[in-house]
Amino acid sequence: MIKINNIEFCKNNKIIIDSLTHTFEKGKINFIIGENGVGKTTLLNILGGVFDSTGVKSTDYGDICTENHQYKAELGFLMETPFFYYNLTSDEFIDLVLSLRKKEVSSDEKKRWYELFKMIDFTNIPISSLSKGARQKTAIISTLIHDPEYILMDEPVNGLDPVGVKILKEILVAEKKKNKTIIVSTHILEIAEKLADDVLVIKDGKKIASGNISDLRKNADEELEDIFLRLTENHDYEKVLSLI
Amino acid sequence: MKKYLIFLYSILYTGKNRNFLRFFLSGFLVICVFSIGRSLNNVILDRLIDNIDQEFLLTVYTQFHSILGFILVSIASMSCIIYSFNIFFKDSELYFLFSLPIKTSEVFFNRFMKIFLYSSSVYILFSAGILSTLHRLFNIKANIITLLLSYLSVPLIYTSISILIVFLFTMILGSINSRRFLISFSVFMITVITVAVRYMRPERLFQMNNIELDTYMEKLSMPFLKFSPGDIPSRVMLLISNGRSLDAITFTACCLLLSFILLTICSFLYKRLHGELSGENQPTSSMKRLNIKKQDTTKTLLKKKEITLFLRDNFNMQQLWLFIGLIAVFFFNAYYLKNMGGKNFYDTITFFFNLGVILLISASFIARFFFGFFVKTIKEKDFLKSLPINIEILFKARQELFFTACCVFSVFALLLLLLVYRPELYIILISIIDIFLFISLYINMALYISLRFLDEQLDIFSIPVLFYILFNLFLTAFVTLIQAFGMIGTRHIQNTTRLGRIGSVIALVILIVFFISGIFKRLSRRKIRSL
Repeated sequence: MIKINNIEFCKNNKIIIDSLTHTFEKGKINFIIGENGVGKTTLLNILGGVFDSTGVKSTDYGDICTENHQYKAELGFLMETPFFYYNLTSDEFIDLVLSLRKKEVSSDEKKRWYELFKMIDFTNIPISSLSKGARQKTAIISTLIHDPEYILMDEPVNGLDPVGVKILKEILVAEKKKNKTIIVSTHILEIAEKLADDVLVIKDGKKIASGNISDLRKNADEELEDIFLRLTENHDYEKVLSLI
Repeated sequence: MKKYLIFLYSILYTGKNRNFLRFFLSGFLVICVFSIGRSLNNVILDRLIDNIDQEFLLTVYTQFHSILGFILVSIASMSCIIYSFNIFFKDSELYFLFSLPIKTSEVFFNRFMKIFLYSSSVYILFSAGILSTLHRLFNIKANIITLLLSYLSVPLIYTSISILIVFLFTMILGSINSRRFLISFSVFMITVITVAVRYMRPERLFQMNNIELDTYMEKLSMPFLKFSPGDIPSRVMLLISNGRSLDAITFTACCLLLSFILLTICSFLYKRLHGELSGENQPTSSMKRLNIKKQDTTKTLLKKKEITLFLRDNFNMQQLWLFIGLIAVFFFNAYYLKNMGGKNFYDTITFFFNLGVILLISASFIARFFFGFFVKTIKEKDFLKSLPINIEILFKARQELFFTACCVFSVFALLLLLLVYRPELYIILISIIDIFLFISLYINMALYISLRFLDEQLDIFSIPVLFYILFNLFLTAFVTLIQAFGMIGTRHIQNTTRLGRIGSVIALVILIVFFISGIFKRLSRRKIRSL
């Protein structure tokens, strides 16, 4: 579980995250949704210990901050634009990340992950020569392979093929059953609708709604897209549509 | 007119003030190159007028001119070969251009212009300097256009020959290893050229009488010189001065025609090649695997990672090869200068001067690779921060790697230098202290600059890096001069205690370097903590 209380983050004199309080439950898939530039990635970076912010961010391993290495060892963080050492192969990159985390994984376990994402033929190719999808798969494997307690994913389906998306969804469900804390940020509301146990909607760095999707519905037919448009008060949506 | 004004405006204005500064700096550089060309030419002419008869003046001058052209053309061709491969096959702009309804020949022309502007600028500026002093020797007013065209034909020919070489090698070798081969080939050629020019010893011209000169000129007429495109303007000048203007015009026209034929061949070859060479096709089987051991500390892991990435980067390897070529040329020159004869006085100065050069090569090495690494640091910093490691270790690992690499290079270079000069033991000791002190200064300073400008693209022409290079140039020159003259002073003044004077020289140097290094170290630490 990650509890955040009244966190604030400013950059270049602009408030990116504004007094945000929320609890990301264990054993649930928590989705963060919001328009472009509302602070989703910044929030995940704060929860990943990349940025320091004001306010409380408590976990079972102490408060999240850049120096909390105990928490980071139990964290798997997939960034929006994953970082790679392009001249390393996927296998080397994953080994390096594991070693930097001081974690060990058996070769069978590694092989299982490669087979899961159909990466077995690409593990000895430099990342620079891989396709966008294969790079994303490499990043996902490096995020999950050490069996982390906390999983943060920022736009995880970027560049993935339909099979890859399906596998990732199944993995997230399996990880949820292991009682892990999973936080995913995405623009693809269909995925959130299928997987989310809990949704946090943010706008301009502020929380505007949260809870189970069924709780957020006004009526039974309402889809997450409609809920989102209603909550984020996109009044000019119809006007924009008329321009198409 | 308005279109050209907008074009000019778009070059000059990019919305940031520092780009204006960069523009003025490049303007300053242009003036410097032009002035060097002009002054060099004046010096040559003055020396020739003083030393030899008028009848030889013309021949000697044109020979000099062709040697100079040969050197310029050779260096420009080598860089052109390296640059062409990237521009024609690896540039990301190519994908954009080929996605538009543009003919391959037009893309070729676009790429060619890019290389032509890049490779011909220094040659043309240098030649302009020479051209501006030509009125002292020739009556060129009537034939100025022919002469200008002959100058223009030189970069046209060498650029097209370089492109043709790249295309032919690429066709024969395939895309994979051709770049490394071309780079090695270029470095080898640079070394050969320098050695060849040194062998000719053109400065001896100033000390000869006319009989010796006859023999010397025969020696100078080396066959390879005649095939250099750099020789074209000299020949045109000779023809003009002999009153054979029509021949000069025909010769220039032939040269221009040759360059256009070569370009047409290149354009034709490019149509065949461009489709086959897109994408990165690195070999995987020959790569040595990143060796990770259980007992490795975080710092060791990061060091291993840096070394592997360095060795696998083609561009880094290309720079390293050039670097090795430079060292070879430098030591050949050191040996050559030593053999010119002289007293201990000159030996000490040249020894310290050469030590300064070694240190400056280290500084440029650091500038190229250190800042190159830090360009990618912003994202890497965030990535590493999401892992359970201390970010400071990354910087320490890099600092240690650079320190080791530079020290290994400098000590090796020093050993070679000692073989040439064989100075006394205390000078050797001072040199070793110098190396360690200077390299730590360069690294601390580079670290501070890269941390201070972490959000900016620190390429080699950016203001912080230029500042870094200029500051180091100044400091190294200043300190090596203090040492050189300090040492000479101690040797020539016999009444004072020698050890005391040597001690004061060492102390002064250590104090200067250590003090500045310490400042940058403290500033860097503060920056790392605030990341």
